Amino acid sequence: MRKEEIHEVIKLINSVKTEASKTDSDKTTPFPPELKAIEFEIPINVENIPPCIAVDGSYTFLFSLLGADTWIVLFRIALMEYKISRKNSKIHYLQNSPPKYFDHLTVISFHPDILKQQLSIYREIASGTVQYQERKASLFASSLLSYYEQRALEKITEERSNCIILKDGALLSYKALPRTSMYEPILKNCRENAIQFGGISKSTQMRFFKNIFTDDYFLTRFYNRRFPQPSYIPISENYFKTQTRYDVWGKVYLAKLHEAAPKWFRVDIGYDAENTQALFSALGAYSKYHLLPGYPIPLIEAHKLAKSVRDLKGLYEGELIDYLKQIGISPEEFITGEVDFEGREYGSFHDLLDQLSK
Amino acid sequence: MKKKEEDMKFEEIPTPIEKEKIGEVCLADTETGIILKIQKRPDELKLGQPIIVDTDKFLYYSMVNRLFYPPNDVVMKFANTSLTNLIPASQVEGVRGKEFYGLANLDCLKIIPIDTTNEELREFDTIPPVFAKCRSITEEEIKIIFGETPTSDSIGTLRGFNYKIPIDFGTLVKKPFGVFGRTGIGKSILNKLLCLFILKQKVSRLLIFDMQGEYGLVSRGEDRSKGLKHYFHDEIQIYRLGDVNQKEKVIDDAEPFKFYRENITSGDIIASSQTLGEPSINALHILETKMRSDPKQSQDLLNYINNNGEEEPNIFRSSLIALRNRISRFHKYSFLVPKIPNTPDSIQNMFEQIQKGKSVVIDFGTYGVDKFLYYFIANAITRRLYQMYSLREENEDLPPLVVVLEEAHKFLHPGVIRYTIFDRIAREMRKFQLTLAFVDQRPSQIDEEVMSQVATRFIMHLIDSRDIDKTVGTLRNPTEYRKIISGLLKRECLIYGDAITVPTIIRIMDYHKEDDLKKALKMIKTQAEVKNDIMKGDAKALFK
Repeated sequence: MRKEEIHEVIKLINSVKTEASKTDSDKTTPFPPELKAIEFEIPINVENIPPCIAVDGSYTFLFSLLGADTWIVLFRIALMEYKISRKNSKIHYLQNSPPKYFDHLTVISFHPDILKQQLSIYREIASGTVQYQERKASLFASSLLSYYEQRALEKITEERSNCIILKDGALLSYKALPRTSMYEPILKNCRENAIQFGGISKSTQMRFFKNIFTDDYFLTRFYNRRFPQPSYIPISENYFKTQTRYDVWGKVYLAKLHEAAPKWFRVDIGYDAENTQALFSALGAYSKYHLLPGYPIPLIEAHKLAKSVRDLKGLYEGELIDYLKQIGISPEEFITGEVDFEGREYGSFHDLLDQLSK
Repeated sequence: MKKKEEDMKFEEIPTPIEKEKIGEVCLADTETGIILKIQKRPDELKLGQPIIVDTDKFLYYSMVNRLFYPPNDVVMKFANTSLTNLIPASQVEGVRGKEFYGLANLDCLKIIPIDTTNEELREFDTIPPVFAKCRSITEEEIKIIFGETPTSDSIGTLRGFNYKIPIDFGTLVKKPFGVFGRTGIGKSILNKLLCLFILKQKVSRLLIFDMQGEYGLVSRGEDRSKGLKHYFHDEIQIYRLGDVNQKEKVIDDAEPFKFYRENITSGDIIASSQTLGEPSINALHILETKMRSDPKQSQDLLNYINNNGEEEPNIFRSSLIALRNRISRFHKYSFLVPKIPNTPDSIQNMFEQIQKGKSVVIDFGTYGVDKFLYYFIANAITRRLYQMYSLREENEDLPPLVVVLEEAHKFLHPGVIRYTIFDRIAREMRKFQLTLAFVDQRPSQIDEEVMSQVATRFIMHLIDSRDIDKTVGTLRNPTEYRKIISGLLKRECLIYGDAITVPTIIRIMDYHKEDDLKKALKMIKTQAEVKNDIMKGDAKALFK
C-alpha cells in the first residue's frame, strides 16, 4: 500500500470522526427546535387493542441455468395475526388466526422466450433491472417480492376490517420500477374497512436531521435520554418533496416503541383513522416482547415464517432435483447450477479464477 | 386467457400445539437413541416416562432418559436481565411454537410394526424419520408390547398411567430375581406382593426367612399389614424359632422350630459370624474334618470345638479362642437340640411340607433382632434343602422352590460366598428347580458372578452410585438409568429382565388397600377369613 493513500484514507475517516465528536459534545443543537417528540402510553385495557396482522416476505434462489440468465426461485409471503390477551393477570401475545403463507415457485429470467410466457410484471421488472449486471438477479427477485407483498396486502385489506396491518419496510414505491401506484387500492381498502395500516423499517437511510449518521442511529445515540418514554417524531412531508427517486404513501415518523427499545425505527403510517396517538399506543402494546422490545411481535414472527424459506433451502432443492432429472438435467448441471439465497453461483468462473490466483 | 396478476392463495399452517403431541424427532442414532424436541414445557415430562414415536410403518416404544435445553446464545444473553414491563418468551405463541424448547433423549426399547400380523416386535435396529411425532402410549399398545402369558399378573401400573403392566411369574421363578432398594423404601412390601402373586399363580413354593414377623398371618411391624398366611392360609406353614410377646400372639398354627446340633456345619458358622478371620476358619475346618472322620465321635460341632483343638499343632491358640467366642452365642438358642434318633427335625419336616405343596415361613420370633442367627439359619436351612433337592431320585418330581433371602449381600459378598451354599444355588439351581430371590439394600456388595445370574430385577430408589451401577449393569445404556433410579419415589420401581418385555417403571399397588389386593388376587375372601367364618360357624358369612 502506498503511504500517501493511507494518509488520505485516515484524513477522510478523521473528518467524519471530528464531525461526530462535535455532535457528541452538543447533544441538543442538531435537533430542530420546531420538532417535538410526542410521548405515548400503552392503554391499560390492552385486551381492547385491535388484532394486528403482519406481512413479510422472503425468497431463496434454488437453481441457476448457467449461461441462460435464468434462475429458479421460491418466494414466500408470510402472514401472522396476533391479539393481546390477559391470562392470570399476565399479558400474552396469542395467535388470533393460524399463520398463513403464500409460496410461489417461479422462474426469473432475462430471456425473452421465457419472459413472454410470464405475467407482464416480469417483463417490466426485467427491463428495469437488466442494466445492473451481477446484481440484476437479486434486484429482479426483490422487486418481484415487493410485488407479491403488495398483492398480499391488497388481498388482506380487502378481506379484513377493524384491525392493524403492518408490513416490513417503508411505504414507498421506486419510480424506476413498475407498479408505482400499487398502494392506492391498499389504502382505499384500509379507509373503507377501518384498517390502520403502517410499515416499519428495520433500518433506514433517511437523514432528516442532516447528520452524518442516519436518523435511526442519530436518535438512538443522541436523543434516547432526552426522550426516555415511548415517543414518535413526525417528519415533515416537505423533506420528501426534495427527492425524485420514490413516492411516499403515508405520513412518516421516527418512533421508539418501547422505553427499552434498542433503536428508533422509521414508521410509515398509511392510514391511522385520524388517531395517530392511538395507533402508536397499540404498536407500543405489541412491542413489549422481552427479547426484542420496541419491535412489534407480529412482524418478528412473520419474519421468522418468511425466512424459513431460506432455512429449508436444501429441502426444496432436493425436491426440485427429482423433477429436473425428468427433463434431462444431468448431475453435473445440478452441481454447477447450485446458487446461494441471492442467486450467486457456487464454484462460478470468478471463484475458479480466485482459486487459481491464490 | 393469460392472467394479468398473480392470484394470491394463502395456505394455513395448523397450530403447532397439537394436544396429543409431546414433540417431534429431530435426531436419531441406533447408538445413542432418539432426540425429541419437546412441544410444551419440559417439566411436563420426567425421566423414565414411556413415549411412543409414531410413524406410518413402526411405533418406537421408548423411555425418556435425559431432559435438557440445548445451548442457546440468546438465553445466555438475556438470562438475569430485567423483565419489568416486558413480556417473556413463555407468554408468546410463536410461529415455531415456544421460542425456547427442551430436548429429550429417548431410549428406544422396542419397535412395534404397524402391521403386527406379519412382523414381530423388534429391537432398536432402525431409526424413525425426522419430524416423526411423539405421544403418550395407549393401553392397546401396552398390551401389544408387554404381552400376556397364562402366568402373567400385575403388581402395579405404568408410572403416570393407569395401565397394568404384566409380569410373567412363571418365568420369574425359573431364575434368580432380586428386589433392590435403600433401607425403608418398601422392599419387603414389594417382596410380599411378589410372593402373593407367585402363590396365586401356583408357579412355585416359597421359603421365607422372616426376621421381623412380616410374612405370617399379620405383620408384627408398625403397619400391622396382613401377611401371606392371611391370604393363603392353607398354603403356608409357619415355623417359629423363639416365642413372641404375649401381646403379639396370633393363632397362626405355627410349629416350633427344632434344629439338631449335629446338623451344624463349618459353613453355617462362617456364614453366621461374617467376620471370622482366616486362621479361625482354618481351625474350624481342621476340627470339623477330624470330627467327621471319627464315626464314634459325637457329631455336635459346637461341643467338639469347645472341647478340642488345643492339641492341634496347626491351630493357633488365639484363633481357637476367637472361634469359641464366636460360637458361644449358639448355647443360648433353645431351638438347637441334640439329635433324637429316628425323629426328623424341623428341616426334614419342612421338606415334607414343601413336597405336599406348602410354602414355608420361618418366623424368628424373639430372635428377630439377632442378625447372626439369621445368617446361620438361612445358610443351614438352605444348605439342607439344597442337599435334599440335589439328592432326589431322577424320577422324583420335587416342586419348584424359591428361597427368599433378605440381606442377601451378607451371604453373597466375596468374603463369605465360598463358604455358603448360596453361591452354588445361584449357579446350579435351574436343574434342581431351586431358585433364589434376593432382597437387598447393598447390591454392590454382592459377588459379581452371582449378580450376573439375577435374571429379573426390581429396583427401587437407591442412593449409593455403586449400588445403582451394580443393579443396572446388564442394561443396554446403564449410565442413563442412574438418574432414573436415584429419582424413584416410594412405591415406584424399575423392572427389567426375563419376566418383563422391556425395562419399565411401575407404580406399585398399595399393599395396604386390602380390597384392591383381594381383587387382584381374584379372592372374594381370603383363606384366613373363610377359615374364621368356619370357626365361628357363620354359614351366612361364608356365602357372602
